[in-house]
Amino acid sequence: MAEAPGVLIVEDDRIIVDVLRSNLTARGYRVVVSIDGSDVLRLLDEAAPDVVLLDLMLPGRDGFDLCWAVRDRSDVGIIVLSARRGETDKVRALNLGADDYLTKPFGIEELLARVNAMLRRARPAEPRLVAPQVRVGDVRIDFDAQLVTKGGKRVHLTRTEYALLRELAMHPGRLLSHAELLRRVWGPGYETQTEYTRVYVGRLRAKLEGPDGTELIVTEPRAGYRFTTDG
Amino acid sequence: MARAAVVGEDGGMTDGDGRRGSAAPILELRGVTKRYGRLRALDGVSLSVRGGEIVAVVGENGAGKSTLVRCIAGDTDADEGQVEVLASAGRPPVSVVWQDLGLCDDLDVVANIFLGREHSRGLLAEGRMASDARQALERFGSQLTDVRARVDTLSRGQRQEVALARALSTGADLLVLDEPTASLSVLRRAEIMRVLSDLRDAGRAIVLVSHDLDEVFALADRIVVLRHGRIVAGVSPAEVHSDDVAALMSGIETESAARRQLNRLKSLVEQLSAADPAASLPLVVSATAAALDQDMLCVHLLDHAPRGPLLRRTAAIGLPPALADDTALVPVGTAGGLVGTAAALGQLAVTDDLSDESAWTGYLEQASAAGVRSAWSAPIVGSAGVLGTITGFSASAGRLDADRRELVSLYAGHAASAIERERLIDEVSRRNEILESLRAMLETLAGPDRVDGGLSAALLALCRGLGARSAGMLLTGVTEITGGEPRWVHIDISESAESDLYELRGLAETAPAGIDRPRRLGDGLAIAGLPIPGGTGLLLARWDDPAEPGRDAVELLDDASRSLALALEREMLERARREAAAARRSQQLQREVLQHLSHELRTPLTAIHGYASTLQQPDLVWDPESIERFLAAITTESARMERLVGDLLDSSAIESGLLRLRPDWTDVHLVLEAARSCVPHPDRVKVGVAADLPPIWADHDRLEQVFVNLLENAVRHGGPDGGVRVTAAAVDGGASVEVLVSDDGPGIPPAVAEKIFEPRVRGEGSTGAGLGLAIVRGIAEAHGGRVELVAGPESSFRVILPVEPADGEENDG
Repeated sequence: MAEAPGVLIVEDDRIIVDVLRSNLTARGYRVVVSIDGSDVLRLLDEAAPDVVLLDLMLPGRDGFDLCWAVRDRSDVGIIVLSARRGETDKVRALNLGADDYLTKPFGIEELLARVNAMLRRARPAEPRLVAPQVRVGDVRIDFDAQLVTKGGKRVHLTRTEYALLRELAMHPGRLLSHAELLRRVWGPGYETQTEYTRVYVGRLRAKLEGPDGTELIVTEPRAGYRFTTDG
Repeated sequence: MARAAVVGEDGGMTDGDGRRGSAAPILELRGVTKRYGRLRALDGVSLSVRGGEIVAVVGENGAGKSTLVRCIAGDTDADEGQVEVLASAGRPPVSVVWQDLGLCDDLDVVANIFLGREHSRGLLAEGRMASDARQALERFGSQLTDVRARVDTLSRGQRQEVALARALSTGADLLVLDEPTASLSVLRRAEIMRVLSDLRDAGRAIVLVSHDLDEVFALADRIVVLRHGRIVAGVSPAEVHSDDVAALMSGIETESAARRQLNRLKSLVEQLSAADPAASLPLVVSATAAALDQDMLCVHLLDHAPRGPLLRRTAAIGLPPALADDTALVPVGTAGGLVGTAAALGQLAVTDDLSDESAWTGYLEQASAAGVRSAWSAPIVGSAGVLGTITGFSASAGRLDADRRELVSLYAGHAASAIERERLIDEVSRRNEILESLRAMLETLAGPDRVDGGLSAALLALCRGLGARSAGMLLTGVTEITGGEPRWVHIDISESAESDLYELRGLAETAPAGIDRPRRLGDGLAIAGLPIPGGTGLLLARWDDPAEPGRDAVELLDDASRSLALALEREMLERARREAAAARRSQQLQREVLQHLSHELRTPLTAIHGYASTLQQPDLVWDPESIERFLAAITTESARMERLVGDLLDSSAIESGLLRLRPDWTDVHLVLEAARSCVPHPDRVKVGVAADLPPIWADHDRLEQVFVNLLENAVRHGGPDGGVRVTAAAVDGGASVEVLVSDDGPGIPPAVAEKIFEPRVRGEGSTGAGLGLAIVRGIAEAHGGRVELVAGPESSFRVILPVEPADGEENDG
């Protein structure tokens, strides 16, 4: 490993910062901390973390805004830590670019597992047996270069978005269940988090499906998704 | 050379803006003639236009308007005569909006706007020109923003806007606009008109050629009518009707007498609709006099006097004194002569020659003395029959011809509507006045005061409006307003009469159910029901006159009872709405508190769970210091949670009134010292207790909780080294103990102070659930005491506790 993976903790409660830092450092991660969220963007540039652990309830600052600001600037993995359990909060955070959402209180094993899953998603894909390129309408996915273009222009995808698109595009025409996609993209233990797939398929559609109605990803109600075979 | 542009020969006449005063002619045309072959397009046209003036040139197609424009602009030379434009120095003399716009299609908007002025703008940056162009367009609200568009890609309206922008931005003293708004929307047209009138006010001279007479009449100071190349009229728009101008343009003379009558009638109608009702009848009289060319005219109105109807003269014009006296009061019927006859028959009565008219007998002498030879009288017939008459007298004999008869009945009709309108308005305003005062009174019902004052005031207004001497109102079952009990409100305005209170109240209480519309009870008494949903209301009134209430009073009572009922109903709904809103707010607050608490509870829980699971990981071995730190954190966080949960339980116990006290005789000094030892910096807290402070009947532990909370709060807000003073003394003659806790911090902002005892509001740096002060107050109140925030720059809290609980306030603990 060239460099230890970095984690940026954004959390105002010092006790929780301590428990996170102790564990992550013990596991060999580089850890940087932002207590009030004001220096997050600077730390993103300086420390170049691979994962951001983001508390949504920061004093005097809206965590959702911060989540969006981070996503706007970088495709770093974002795991939201929040005491809010409502699905609306979860979907909102995902919509703003979070890759994962962990509800407080959580065990350290679970947190470490999610950080690992996030990092795994970011690593280059394992060898596969499909064509190195998929082309649907004006959308082209180049698996070797990890490059997606639409109408010749590069489409910027976050790691999670790319991982999901890759899962779908590698199996054109095949029905992939929510659970299957969740396990493959987010990791074991996520199989019931169907709001993740809903939100992320929505994000992919917004970025890749044109106003002309080219349907890249077909929803199979209550079952899952299917990558189109057209094109 | 027939055209001379004389440029600024006398600087003395220009004002500070370089504009000429409005007295100076800027355009002068003298005997201008222009021929195209045998056709004389212009034939001896002379015209002078001053600064600060808009002169409209109107005329039919081919009248010579465009040729005139071309001559003024210098686009063509006149064959005879002179065109003179006297412009200020340094300004282009004329700028023109051509009917065909005269734009260069292959240039963009900016280039077109500055067309012909490039030399003066040569050094201007492109960007500056574009922004100037945009500004010129925005001046009249143009939506055209792409100033780099080629004008041939624009719509006709947009092209016209470009032409206008060009003309208006040159700064020329004389603007010549040939159909400038023909292709524009109504909205843009109005904007252009506004800009033109601004330019006129700024001293420019404007020649406006337009087909649109509305526009011409709205803008022009003078209208010049051009026909067959000649100026046939120069008129002021204030003096002529647009129909007249149209007639002048076409040269077709319209029947002028009829037109005059029509115009007069039209103006009468306009004046009548704007006039004060009391002034409308005299207006009709004078208009009629003018229309019929009649010197002597009067209007009689029917007056239902007790001894039979009379005609009372209410308006007159030109009547000699003798005749005036005589016609002041006239009986209906033939005895009333022409006037009485017309009223009795409901028909026009005419006498062509007074000398052989028997019906006029009674007034013959006076009329003759006044020089009256002929007369007519027309009935004024309203919707309910004859209202009066309108009568004309003439010093000469002669027939009233058919046309004039028609006019007479037309004006009589106007008089009828004027009279009816006046009466209606009178009636409506009388009612409105009463209803308005009722409404105003009832508005006070919505205020925080008890309703009696408002209801009494409403009754008083009603009494006055009805002309009654007393009135009463009984409301039952209207709990929202009266608080459960039936409510009786009574008012007497007659000073002499003895109070009708008992009589009216007795009537109200024994009244049968289901009274709705007002009923006469005889002997000057009336009762009406107030249709209030869920309750009943009765309104009673007593008059001095046993014949009352008359029809009017009954109707008024009806109106009043309905509006009272409506107002009461509105008030009830409003109160219900407010209660519902308060309930919603409290639910909302509860939800917020819960949400907040769940976050507060999860934070220590996360830490505890996190540390515990950290220690449980089988594959890691932590050094002893880390383990020590983790365990210490678990202990601290557990204590934090315990306290949060305790606060939560206390606050819910207080909320539901279940807080249990274990009271005993308690020494407040001991409590304060115990509390002091619990706060982070006990040395900063100074406790001063009066020597004679009595022990109080209270729960020692709960009081300690109160003061720990207040002291912690004070230490936290009192600045880094701030001191906290606690004083305790007996007050209320030894019946209560007052404890003051003050810090020298910056105080509490007023906005926060209002809500400080509500759950959740808490200052920066607090680690509690935000329930502290709510609990403090709850405990104090459970002791029969209270906690207050004392206003002032330093925040201080005052706790007042009774020495012994008041009677009947025994705690069950």
